[in-house]
Amino acid sequence: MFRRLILEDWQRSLSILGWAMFAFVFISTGVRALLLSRDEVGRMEGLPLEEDLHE
Amino acid sequence: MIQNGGNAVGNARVRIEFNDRVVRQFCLASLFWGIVGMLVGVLIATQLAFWQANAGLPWLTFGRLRPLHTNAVIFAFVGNMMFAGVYYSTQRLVKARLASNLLSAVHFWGWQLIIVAAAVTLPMGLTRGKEYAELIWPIDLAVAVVWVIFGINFFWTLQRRRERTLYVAVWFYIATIITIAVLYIVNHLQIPTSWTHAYPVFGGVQDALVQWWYGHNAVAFFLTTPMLGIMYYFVPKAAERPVYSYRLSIVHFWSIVFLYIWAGPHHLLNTALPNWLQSLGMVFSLMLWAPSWGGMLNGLLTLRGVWNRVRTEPVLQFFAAAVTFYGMATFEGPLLSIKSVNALSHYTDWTIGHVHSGALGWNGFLTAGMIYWLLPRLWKRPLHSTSAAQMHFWLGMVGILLYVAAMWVSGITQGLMLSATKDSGSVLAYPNFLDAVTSTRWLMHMRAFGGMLYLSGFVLMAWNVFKTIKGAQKNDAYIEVAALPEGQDGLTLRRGLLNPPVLYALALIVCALGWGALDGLPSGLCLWGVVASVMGAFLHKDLTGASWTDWYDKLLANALPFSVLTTIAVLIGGVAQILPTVLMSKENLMEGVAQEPYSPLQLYGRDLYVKEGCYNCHSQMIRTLAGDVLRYGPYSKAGESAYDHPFQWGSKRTGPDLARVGGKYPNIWHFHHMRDPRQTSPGSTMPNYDWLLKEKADWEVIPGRIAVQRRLGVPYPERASADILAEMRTEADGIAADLGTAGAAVQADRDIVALIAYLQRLGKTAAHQAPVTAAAEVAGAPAPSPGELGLTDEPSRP
Repeated sequence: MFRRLILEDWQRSLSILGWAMFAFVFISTGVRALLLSRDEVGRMEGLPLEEDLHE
Repeated sequence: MIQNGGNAVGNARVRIEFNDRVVRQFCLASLFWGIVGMLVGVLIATQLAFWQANAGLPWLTFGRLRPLHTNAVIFAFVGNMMFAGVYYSTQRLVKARLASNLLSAVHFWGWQLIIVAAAVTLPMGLTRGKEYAELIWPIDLAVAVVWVIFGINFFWTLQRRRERTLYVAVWFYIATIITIAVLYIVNHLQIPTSWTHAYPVFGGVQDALVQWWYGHNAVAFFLTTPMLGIMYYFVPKAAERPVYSYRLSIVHFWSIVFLYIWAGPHHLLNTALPNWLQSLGMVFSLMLWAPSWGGMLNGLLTLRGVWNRVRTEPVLQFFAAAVTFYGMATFEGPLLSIKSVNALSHYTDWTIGHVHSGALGWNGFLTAGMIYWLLPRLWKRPLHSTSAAQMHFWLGMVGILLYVAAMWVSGITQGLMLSATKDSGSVLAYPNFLDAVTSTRWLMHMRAFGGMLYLSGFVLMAWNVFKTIKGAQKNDAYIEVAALPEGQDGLTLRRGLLNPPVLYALALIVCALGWGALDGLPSGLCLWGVVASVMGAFLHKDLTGASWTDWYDKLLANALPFSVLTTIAVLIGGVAQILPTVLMSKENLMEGVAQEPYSPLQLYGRDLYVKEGCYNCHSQMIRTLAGDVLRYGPYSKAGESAYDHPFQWGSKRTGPDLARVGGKYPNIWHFHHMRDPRQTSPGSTMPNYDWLLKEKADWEVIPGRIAVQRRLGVPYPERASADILAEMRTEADGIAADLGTAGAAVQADRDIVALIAYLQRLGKTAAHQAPVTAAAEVAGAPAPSPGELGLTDEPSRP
């Protein structure tokens, strides 16, 4: 029923499928990011802060 | 002894000396080309206020210089800065010297040669006629080669790294290198007709879709993702504190990479692009709000605790302003992608203002901040004048605000005036297009002044840089790290991809696409496939006790499989949008209107139209909007430009739309208009094109060009060259005779004759033979009703 209401032809369903795929990517990467260990986050955050040496 | 810049230090540590020479070179090149590009920008902005500012020279006209301005700023100014930032930060983040000195040098000098070639060819009118993709095919090839060299040097360096994991900035660089390669190659597919001319393989609506898939993502993956990588490295460096949330940066990366590629069709809203693509572009553009603002907040909050330093340190001032402009521009972008807002903003200066808030504020200020930060480190000498750098900041800031404010006011004024109607929407309120031009002219002065201020800031910076580095010691930095073996990749490509999480996700996507795209039983089976993929994944995980997060963590530490996964994320959007449109037959895109091929003389005139860059000011796309239809005639259908290689729908109307200009005016009107536009259109800002009256046309090229068009599928009959040339002669003689009768003596083989032939053909398809008369438009006489013009309440496209 809903398919008939909102999907007039197959190409239009791409918007919804695209949104669903993005939601999948967003949620899965979000969950993974939240589950990162504190040590790992600290180590990654520190990478740009290491200083060069000069002669 | 360690190769590649590394020397053994004692037993446990190695010394890695960085290749900072190439970073210094790219920094200086960015500054130099930035000033050149901005200077051209100020010149063409001045031309919109004073039409005489091209000094009567063909190679200084707006149509030829605007592509030079955009290419110089994007690929020369930001491009060189990007390479400097990528090379500097990557070496430090992965603890390895750039893999090859030779490749680094070839990359630098190759890129500069490309820029010089562009600076010579574009003013000559050698162009492909597609925005940000104007360079002729030999230069395109050189760009592809140099980009591949950049990619090899970069990935080779990653391969030799001594750091286990890849920091998020490196992810953004990987996405940039891969995506730009894909975009550039697809949008530059073309068949040459000579060493300086080619026709793109896509035509009409297909070319429009591919072009804006490229054009939008040139902004996304050339002006945004590498800049975000640079932000994630240099802002923490300058603030001397870690990024606010590394977790947020992970979500930021994947969301941006996955979303951006889908948003291209928002450049074609209310046009002949199929409706489903317009909806897709709008929806994904709106979704971009979330990750973009997440990234902006992550950048700004990195400065927490150091705001007191922002008051006094130019580097932090530039970075804080740049990230803020990133937020503003990425708020405005999705806003302009809403179809109803776009109806007002598209083809007006509002879009120009939006682009410049991003380019000047985000890219320009990030560049300035990065170079000011790098200077003392690369030349081992403090910045010559901090107060001059602060003056640069305020000149730039005031310049941007003046520029953007002028463009907002101008754009909204143009949009409102050109769409305004009266008498229950049946008559245009401002029937003369030039009303919108003359009423916004003062804003063009303001814009040019704002641009001049911004440029003067960079000139001041160049002086500051010169004084800082004059006589300074060039200094390559080094680090000492634990003597781990080179190369940290432990996950092979095969093990990275033939992995349960990837395979289940792939099955889910394929089945979901099949469910939506197919009908009947296959669609039902695909729906079951979706359910089975999800259930299978959970069952597999429970039965084997697998920890898939380990796989993800390994992936982030392994460049090659990570790059392939990024490629897939990026390609999904491109494939879903472009493949159905490209594979669809021309007939399905015709909308009941079939374009007939141009006559040989008209084709020559069209090539002149492209050469002079007319598309920079004139569109050929009447949108499905009442204002457009009342002003220009029935809305454009895809079939009317199906065989246009390249399409010329345009993106800005400094002058009126030309989709149905054919037959609207007599030949002599076009003659006078091209010689002196103000004679026929008082108040016009168009330059005089009097050289078209003198230049002798080179008709001999046309048989070869028609042969290429035949290969591209344009239904030209097979004919001998002599027949083609004879037809050109006959048609040109007719137009020249008509001009002579009207009092303008011109030889038939002049460029102006071919251009008039082309202009008189526009809109002359079988379905639309009765254009709106000039008198009716100018005098504001009652225009045909929307129904008569083919506009219904809800114009629908497939």
